[in-house]
Amino acid sequence: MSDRAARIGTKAAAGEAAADRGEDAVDETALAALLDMTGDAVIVQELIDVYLTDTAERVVSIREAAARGDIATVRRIAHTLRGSSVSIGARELAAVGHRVEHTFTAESADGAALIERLAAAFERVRESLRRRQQRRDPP
Amino acid sequence: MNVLVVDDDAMSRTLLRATMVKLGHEVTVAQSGAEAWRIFSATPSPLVLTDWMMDDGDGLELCRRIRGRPSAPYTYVILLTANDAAGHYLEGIEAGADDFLGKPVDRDLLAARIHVAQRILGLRDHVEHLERLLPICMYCKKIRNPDERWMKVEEFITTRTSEQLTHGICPTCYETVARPAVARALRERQR
Repeated sequence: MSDRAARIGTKAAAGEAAADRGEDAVDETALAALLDMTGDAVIVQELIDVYLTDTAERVVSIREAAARGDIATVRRIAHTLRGSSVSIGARELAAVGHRVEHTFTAESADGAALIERLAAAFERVRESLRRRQQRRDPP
Repeated sequence: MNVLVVDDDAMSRTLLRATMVKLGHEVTVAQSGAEAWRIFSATPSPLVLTDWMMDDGDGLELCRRIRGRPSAPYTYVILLTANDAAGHYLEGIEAGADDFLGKPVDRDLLAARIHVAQRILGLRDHVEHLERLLPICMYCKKIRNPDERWMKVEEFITTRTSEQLTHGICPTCYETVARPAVARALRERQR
């Protein structure tokens, strides 16, 4: 295994292990860092809203590209999804996105399974951010 | 400082804009390399922060276009990279990037790199200003060329620019030089 492949495997495994341990799908310290960077809770909420909208569209686009065997598009979208997931603190989703970006192949059954893991990881992120929103704005 | 932020990811764009505004800069955003080039061509920014990999071609192409402008003021370009960009930095430098920042961007690191950018832009302005200074003789007004040769102003202009000279007399010289000379000549003829 090359050093690069080993690094990819290690990062992905770390993010996925965090999910296996039952940790929250979104790292609050990353959200706190966003608040520190922007200095404005309204902008952080805007970032979360933009992230959720764009990521939902990206998961759909990845599924569609994977179904037609368009590996380059799958990997390109996964690259962007991974980057924004790191920023928002979605470590598991970022890790799976990283794996899709670097290892996805349309032919193998693993490829299809990987896309489903990506979609499932996103659902956990969405749920986590929804719960966070409810805690901040109780009904 | 006016900064052009280029990223095809809306979240990254929003985050970078908010961070740069908080750091006291004026920010223009573009969501693609093509849009960035249109904005930059109309109003060049001294600092460009651009994502490396974008949908419509990458940040490298934007770097090459910025560097391809003839005799323009210098623009400092920072490429935003994913963490696995190691091994590609030379490619970025060859395209014209000045610096790199990993994503997600750390605010303190971003602020530090922008200080460096401002320092370098200031030094470049100073050097360009010095390069524009022409040594001119206080007495005969000849100009010294970069090859150390002194030449008349007329020769300097016609050899260094596309301008051609034609002789005339300005109003001041007409009053102080030409008119008295003509009057003197008429007086001498009358004698």
